[in-house]
Amino acid sequence: MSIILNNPVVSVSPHVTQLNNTTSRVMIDVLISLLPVVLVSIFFFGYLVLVNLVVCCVACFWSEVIFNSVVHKQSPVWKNVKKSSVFSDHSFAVTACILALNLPTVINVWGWNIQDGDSILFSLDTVILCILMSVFAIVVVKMLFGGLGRNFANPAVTSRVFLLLAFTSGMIAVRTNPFFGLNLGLDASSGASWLGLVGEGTVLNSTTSPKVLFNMFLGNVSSAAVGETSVFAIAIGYVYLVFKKVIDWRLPLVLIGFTAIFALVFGLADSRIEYDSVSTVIGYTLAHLLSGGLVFGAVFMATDYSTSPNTFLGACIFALGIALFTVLIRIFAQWPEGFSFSLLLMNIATPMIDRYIYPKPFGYVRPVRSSQ
Amino acid sequence: MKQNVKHKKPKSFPIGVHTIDNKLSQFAPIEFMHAPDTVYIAMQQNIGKPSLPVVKPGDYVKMGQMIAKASEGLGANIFSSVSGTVQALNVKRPSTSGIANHIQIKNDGLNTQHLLQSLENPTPDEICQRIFDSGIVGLGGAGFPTHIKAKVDKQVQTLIINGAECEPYITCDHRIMLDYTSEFLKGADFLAKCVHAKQVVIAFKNRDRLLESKIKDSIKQNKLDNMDTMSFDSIYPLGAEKQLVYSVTGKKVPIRNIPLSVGVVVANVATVLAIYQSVVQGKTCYQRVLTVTGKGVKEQKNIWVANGTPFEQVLQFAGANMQDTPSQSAVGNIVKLIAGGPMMGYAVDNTQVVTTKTTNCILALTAEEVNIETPLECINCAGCSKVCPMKLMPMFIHQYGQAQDATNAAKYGAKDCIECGCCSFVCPSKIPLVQTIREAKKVVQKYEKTTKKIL
Repeated sequence: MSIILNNPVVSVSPHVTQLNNTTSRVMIDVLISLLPVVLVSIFFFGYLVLVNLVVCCVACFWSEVIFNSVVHKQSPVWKNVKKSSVFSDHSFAVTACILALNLPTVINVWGWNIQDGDSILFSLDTVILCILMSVFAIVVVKMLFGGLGRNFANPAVTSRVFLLLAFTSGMIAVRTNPFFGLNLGLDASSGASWLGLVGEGTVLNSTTSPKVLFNMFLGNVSSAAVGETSVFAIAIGYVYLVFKKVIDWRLPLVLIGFTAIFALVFGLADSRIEYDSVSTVIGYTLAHLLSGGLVFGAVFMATDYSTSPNTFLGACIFALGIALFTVLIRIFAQWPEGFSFSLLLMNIATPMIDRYIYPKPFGYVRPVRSSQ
Repeated sequence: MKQNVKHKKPKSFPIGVHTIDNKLSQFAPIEFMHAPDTVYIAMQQNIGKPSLPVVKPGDYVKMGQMIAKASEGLGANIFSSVSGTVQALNVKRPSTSGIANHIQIKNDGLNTQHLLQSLENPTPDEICQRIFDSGIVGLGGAGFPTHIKAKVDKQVQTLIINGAECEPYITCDHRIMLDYTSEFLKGADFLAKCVHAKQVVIAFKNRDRLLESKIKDSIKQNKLDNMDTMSFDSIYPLGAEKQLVYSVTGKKVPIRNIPLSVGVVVANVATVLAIYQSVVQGKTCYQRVLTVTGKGVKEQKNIWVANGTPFEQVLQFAGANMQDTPSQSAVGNIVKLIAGGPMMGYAVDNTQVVTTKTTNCILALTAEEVNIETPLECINCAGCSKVCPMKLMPMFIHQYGQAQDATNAAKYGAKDCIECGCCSFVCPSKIPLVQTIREAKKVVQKYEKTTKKIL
């Protein structure tokens, strides 16, 4: 009587791995954390957000599939889509979601819209640009540099910067489309955002009253992109990501903290603003944190694995750079919002940070140099 | 002596992974298993050089008699685990590290013992000589010859007895501490005398309150004044040498150096038990306690197994499923057989592999316990560098190792990897990082050899 092993598995150690910790699980966790933001965006801006989201998802998915089939000769790709890596790691959906949340509801470039009076029912421009953005994000930023984990910059933010520079007028002109949203009737539809005022140098003390700040926190204000409107919804996503240990809880807080410091310093130095009390200064700083893409970017884009430094010290430098350039662009440049640009800049600096900042091994001793 | 220990409330090493313990066999007392009809004793059972046979085919050997002597340098004597006739030398058989030489001995079943003279009140030199004579090596799994460790040329502050047993499944050290409490403590005392240690710390996990009180009682009974216990929270790899030294004393062992450089000697629980048996009972190192566990066997056990027993016999003793059906997925069928623990052990494809001095566990995993995954691309999550107990950056070593870039692989710590497996354990992309880091180590070695430059 002997024991014979039938096709035993022979592999290198370790022989057990963490269950439920897979790439696709990580991506699904990010998608779940984005859900509150998506819901709040639809609540404030209407169904066009959902249209953008679906268009981006489909476009991202097919551009990755087609790229793989053309470049990597994964054929016939139409028949075994479910088996391909695109389907298994869900990363296209994360890119698509973040991209869609980084766009305004309507980008009006050529005016190919279906309108009912003043309100836009459907915008063909936006759909075309969504597809263009998705292809750019997936093919140019991600796949050409080696696919998942090899992208040099966050695909969504690169795409957004591309859009901002190529279609500036469209992006700025139709900043929000609140006509179908169940907006609470406060500031959502009214003109320029707070950061726009900062850029123009017309900041008034009344624009940072507690009521306005509270509306900013809830998301009931106009913003350049649908996803960044509600800090409250983003905070829910942040808590989920930290709870699931998908992101390091420190990085977003460090980034927001640095931004607060720089906003305070440059705000006080800004002669265009007259401060009458300490509460105004605090209000000004808080308004900087609550408006624009800062919080959304800090939680969902700056924590992107492949484009942020791998050590905490490196991440602090990364955050310092983003915060500095964001505040500088906001206050001194002609762009109302600078988070995308500064994140893109620091994304590119990440390999350099990782080259110089790495942990010393446990028990490291400085090698003794010979006296030669 | 207690004030020498830095932490008042002992804290586990802060970095590592929390594995599922799965200590299935922790309530099974240590049993004896009869040696099989034929044993095959491996000629390399320790770090260093293989031992040299001193018997000829046809010789009659007793249980515990030397059959191979230590080679110069790093080496250890090897002993017959049965009484009987030597049938052949240089028998080629599979082992955990490829095909290796074995001595085949036919068991006559009489168990005639060959004992060394027991020592009373031994001097340090006598203990050290006895450790060499009995062929004791680090029985925790590394197999470093203990007599070399015991020959200290520096003041030793602390002797740490490693009972951490941080690998999942394995329970043999835990059972030795429970079933042979006073024996292993006396063995620790012998080793402490040998290395002139000022204090002895027994380090183990605080899984079992009973164990702690039992060891403390036994220390009092035996009047071992310089001994102390320390229990730690469970974290893997707590039992790794440098990490354990840091947890116990707060001292960092310099990289590429041994704990002796900070005045610490670490020895395993099974090793000190072997020292006790050798000094007091005159038994040489020809058998050991091992755990046979996993869901592939019916009864998870801790057993005394004669050196050179094929795994097949041990598995039968523990009631492994006989594989009538050739399907992997059938319940209880062994899918993966591992010599050692699940984190650092070697998978074997053959039940004819034999036990050695360093086999502390035979693990029979079934389909439900093994998760076989295909590696995906690295997503740069840096999870591996967050859990690395040596504070390396495994993903960079992996990338630069694959690119044959020795300089950068060494920069991120390829040479300092202890191969604990934490990085592969947490990797969401299921990349076999330990294996790629081993390859990176070879790349670095090759570079150093060709350029004669130390990175």
